[in-house]
Amino acid sequence: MSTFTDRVKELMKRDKISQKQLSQLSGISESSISRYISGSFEPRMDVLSNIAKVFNVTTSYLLGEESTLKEKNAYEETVCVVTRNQSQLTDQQKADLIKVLFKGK
Amino acid sequence: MLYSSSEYREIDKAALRLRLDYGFLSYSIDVFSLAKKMGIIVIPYSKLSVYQISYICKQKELGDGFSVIQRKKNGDYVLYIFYNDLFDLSRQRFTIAHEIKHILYMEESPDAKQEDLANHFARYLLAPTCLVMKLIDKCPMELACIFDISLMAAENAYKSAKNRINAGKEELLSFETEFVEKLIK
Repeated sequence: MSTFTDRVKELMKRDKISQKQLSQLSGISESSISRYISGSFEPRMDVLSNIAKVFNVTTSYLLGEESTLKEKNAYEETVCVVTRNQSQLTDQQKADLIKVLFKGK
Repeated sequence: MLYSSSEYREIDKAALRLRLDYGFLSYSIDVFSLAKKMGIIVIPYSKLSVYQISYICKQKELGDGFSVIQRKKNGDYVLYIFYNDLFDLSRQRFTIAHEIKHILYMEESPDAKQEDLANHFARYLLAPTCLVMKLIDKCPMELACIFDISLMAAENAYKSAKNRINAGKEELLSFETEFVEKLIK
């Protein structure tokens, strides 16, 4: 069984929530939640993120990238990318755009 | 540009999976709401400052919209789609659907193929061929109303469905059957 399925089950137990409640809280349909938890589907990043929010943990924790459970806290940005081909937008233009959007004038 | 049918099927499957996961089981899909349910922050250009807008206007590649992926030190992502809300709604909807594909596949620097497949993803998300085939007796104008897409997009969706039927491939694939069955319920 994957770390993801183990960790979600563990957190459901910790917070005493059912698959139905997890579905309601995450916005992901019950049948899909069931398949992600059983390991039939690989969770996408948005699925991981929505489930992580419900349990107030990081997506890394759900994937087993952190050995101990760490509550989410104010986090620092590391990487920020604009999804555009380099032939359309150079790295410098992307960096400038990020600055304009998120770092003020 | 044409790619292998398995590549197109993978994209079709991802689009329907997304609809199923978030319960978008009607013909027309509210992509703004889908993006929000996925945890994406959706920002129209009209909400940006004059300074930000004037910078974006200088980059013609950003005319319709773009997405930004922020990865935080704790491994979490913050996702944004910025879109031009001066264009008509069907174009805005297509842009959102197109950008969702880039985010879904974490495409930092999408090449021409990934861009083409993002367009294919958007077309399929907005008007899945498996649904258009069920409505093949309708004209493109009716399809445009049913799926809330532009007439040009409806004509393309109609052609794709017709081509698939003419090629004798009207039988639904397993992931399409699951979606269509849920839609009927």
